[in-house]
Amino acid sequence: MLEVIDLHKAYGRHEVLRGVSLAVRPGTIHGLIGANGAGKTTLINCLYGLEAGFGGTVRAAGAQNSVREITGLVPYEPYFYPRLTGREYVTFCLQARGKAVPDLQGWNQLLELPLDQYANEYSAGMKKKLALLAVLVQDFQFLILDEPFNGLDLEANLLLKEILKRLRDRGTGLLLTSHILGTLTEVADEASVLVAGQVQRHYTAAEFGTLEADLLAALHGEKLTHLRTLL
Amino acid sequence: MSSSKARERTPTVAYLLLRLWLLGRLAREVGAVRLVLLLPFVIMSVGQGLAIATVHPWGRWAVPLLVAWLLLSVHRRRSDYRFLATTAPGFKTWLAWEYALLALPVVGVLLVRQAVGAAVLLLVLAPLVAWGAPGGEDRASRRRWRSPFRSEAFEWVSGMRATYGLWLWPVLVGLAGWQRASPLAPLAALLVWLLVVLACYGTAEPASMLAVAGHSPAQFLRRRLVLGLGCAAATAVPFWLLLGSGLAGWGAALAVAVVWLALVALLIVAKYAFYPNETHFRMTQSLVLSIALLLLGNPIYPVLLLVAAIGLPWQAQRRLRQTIGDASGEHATHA
Repeated sequence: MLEVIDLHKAYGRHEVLRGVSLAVRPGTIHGLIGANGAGKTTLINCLYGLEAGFGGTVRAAGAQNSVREITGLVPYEPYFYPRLTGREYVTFCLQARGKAVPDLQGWNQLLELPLDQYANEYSAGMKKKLALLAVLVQDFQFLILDEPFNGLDLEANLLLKEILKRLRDRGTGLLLTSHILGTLTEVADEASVLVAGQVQRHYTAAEFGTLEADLLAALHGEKLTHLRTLL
Repeated sequence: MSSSKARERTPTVAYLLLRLWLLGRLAREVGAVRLVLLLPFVIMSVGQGLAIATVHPWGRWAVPLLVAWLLLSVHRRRSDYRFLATTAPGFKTWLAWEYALLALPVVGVLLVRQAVGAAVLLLVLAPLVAWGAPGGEDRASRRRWRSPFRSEAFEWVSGMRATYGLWLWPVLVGLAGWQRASPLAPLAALLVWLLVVLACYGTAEPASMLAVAGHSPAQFLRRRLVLGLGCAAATAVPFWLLLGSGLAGWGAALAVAVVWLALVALLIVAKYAFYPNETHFRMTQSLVLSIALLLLGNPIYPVLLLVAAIGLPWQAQRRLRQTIGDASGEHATHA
């Protein structure tokens, strides 16, 4: 289990995370919901060890390995070296962790990427799929996906949802952020709502029915009152 | 890259081969003719610089510090740092190997010049650079104040942060002032400061930043030149004053100032002449700097510099016309 307990992170005097706690269990999809600037990416970076100087505990409970060793990350904006093909990118990602390079054909029949073209010339959606391919072939115990649906078309979106569900079913734990609330609640088993650096509430799948109304009230309380006067 | 042998590579070897592979591809794009023209100049000017530095007992010890600082300024501007941290937990060892290998030619020269202590120091310092914090990690900067200067002179703001230029500048002024009895001290300080300025103009900003400005290529280039030369002149004034008030005299100081500013202008123009290919424009900037340093060595060098002074502005406007045109087109499509 990936666990974050009472996490605090500040940049100078600006506190970005204030006592955040959450857990990602094996075989579950945990959604992380929040407006821009709520602290989602900072939380992911702290969890993955990309940020230092935070307070609280981050651990891969029940495992001897560090979070980064057993967890794959697809960042919001994946980086690609110029003049590196998609195939070379995936090969390097595997070699970087000392793993054998499998035949990519099977996965690529699903993702349909032009693997022999330069990756930095891919479209935004293709880049996201390539970064995803690089973690899918590594068989991680946990995956952290920051806005994985961004830039994907309808077909890819549907396919990704199915991939995530199947990963969950075979025991992978997933932490997922998305601005698309409907997509997130369709696949997630539980969700944490992050507002101004604090977890406002944890939701189980059974409680997702009230999530949208709660979010509207939390993010746009005053605007809602104003809207009622207009419409 | 995709051969079966690739599967057996250790992560460090895989990373170093990847860097070599990418460098080869970028060099191929630069072209064999340009490389044949460029590399001898760079090797000669660096070799000459090292030969001069290692003659002086202080100069010997300055070489490892200067090389380590150059590596650190490159390290702090790495665009792949976050990717490497995400891709593998042990990536800093790879970077340590990379920096040690990059420093090896200089270590070799130091050994040949019998500066064993300085060579050992460089071998120790170069890998340590890998553990330096990259510029982007300085997150306190996220909350820094905004100003028209910061958004306009972005090269200087990020360049100073990456090279620790704001710390280096008073040190250089202090050293040049301390040793002002010799005109070489302000000259050497100006040369080091030119390397800082070069680092400021070694990164390509996103194309959208060129288009957003909304100027014609000539206007855009003029604006970058006026701002760049203004910043460069403002920071170089103490060195010129030290030079003028010393043995060299005001006439020599004025001549040095003009040549130094002309070089800065060429470095800025070279960036946009081959924008956005960073390898390409960094190599051209190195070529310009090398020729300028070797200027008196051969009658062909002033001619080459003249060709660069005429050709680069023309090429920069041509490239900017393509880029700004492309970027504007992109905006129109999205809109």
